[in-house]
Amino acid sequence: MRELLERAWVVVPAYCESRVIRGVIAQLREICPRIVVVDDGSTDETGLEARAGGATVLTHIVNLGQGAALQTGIEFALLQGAEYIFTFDADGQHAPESLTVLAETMRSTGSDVILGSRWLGHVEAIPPLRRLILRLAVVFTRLHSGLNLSDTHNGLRLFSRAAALRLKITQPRMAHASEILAQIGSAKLRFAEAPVTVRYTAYSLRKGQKLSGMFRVLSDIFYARWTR
Amino acid sequence: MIVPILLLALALILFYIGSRRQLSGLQLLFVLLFFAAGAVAVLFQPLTMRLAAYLNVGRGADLLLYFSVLCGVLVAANFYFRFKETERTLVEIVRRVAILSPENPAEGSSGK
Repeated sequence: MRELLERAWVVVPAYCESRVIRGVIAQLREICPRIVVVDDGSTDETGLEARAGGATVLTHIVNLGQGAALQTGIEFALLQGAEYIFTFDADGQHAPESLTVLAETMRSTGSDVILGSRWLGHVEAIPPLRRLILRLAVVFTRLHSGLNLSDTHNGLRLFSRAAALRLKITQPRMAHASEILAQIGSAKLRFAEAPVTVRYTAYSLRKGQKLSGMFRVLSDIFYARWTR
Repeated sequence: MIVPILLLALALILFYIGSRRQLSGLQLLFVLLFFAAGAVAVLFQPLTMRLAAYLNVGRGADLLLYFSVLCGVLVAANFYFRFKETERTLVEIVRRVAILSPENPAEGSSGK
């Protein structure tokens, strides 16, 4: 497990997270030393703060969206020879110790992909509306990609190199969560869920997705399906 | 009185499009046909009425409205797909730039 973490990169997409990013990276580094932050065209000091925290920083010169930032980070990690790739949210909602849980789950199940699940783990201070939307997303995913998961929109994931090479995120904005699952399904990758902790803070809620974002996601998904 | 104004407007727009020289041969032909149809519709209004009656639409004006809406939708769809294509290109360019210029962690960074 130690060995897995030593051969892994953590990809952290970040947009205007200068207030929290340094602390998040510093904590992450104690678990996994190789971290790449993709600064998605932030208008604040996110990139500088991330470097100060100890991350390698890639900069999107204009804002593209989280899906695009993830794909950039994953391609970079693959070029660096990463054997394992984590994705992790920049806003501090994930607990860094969860990386260890994901790594252990990959070891014990032999899966290609491990997906973090807040419902198998702990959720702190989640607003009721958010809970409802996330539950709806689970049902939607069951219909859309046929995967039976407990938590479909969690930014904490672990991919083996082989799995990451199969992945090609084309949804630049927030529809990438569904897209990743659809690709896991169509590439028939072996996957498992691992319990993780998600902490909702006033900060992460303000930064997070709004209800209106859901319609954008659905329209992105339908567009992609029609033009495939 | 409205007829000469409409024809003049058509001619002016056509002249403008032609002088820009940004359309390919096929596109220019399409625009010419479109404008010719417009001129015919303005000059020989009974013709659109008869065509409308033939198509069971009722009035010639209704036929023109339907036709315009259809054209508008086609143009919007064309722009939408081009926008999506441009977005894909933009993502690729921005990604290449980002990957080609990674910035290493700051010296002695501890995050403390």
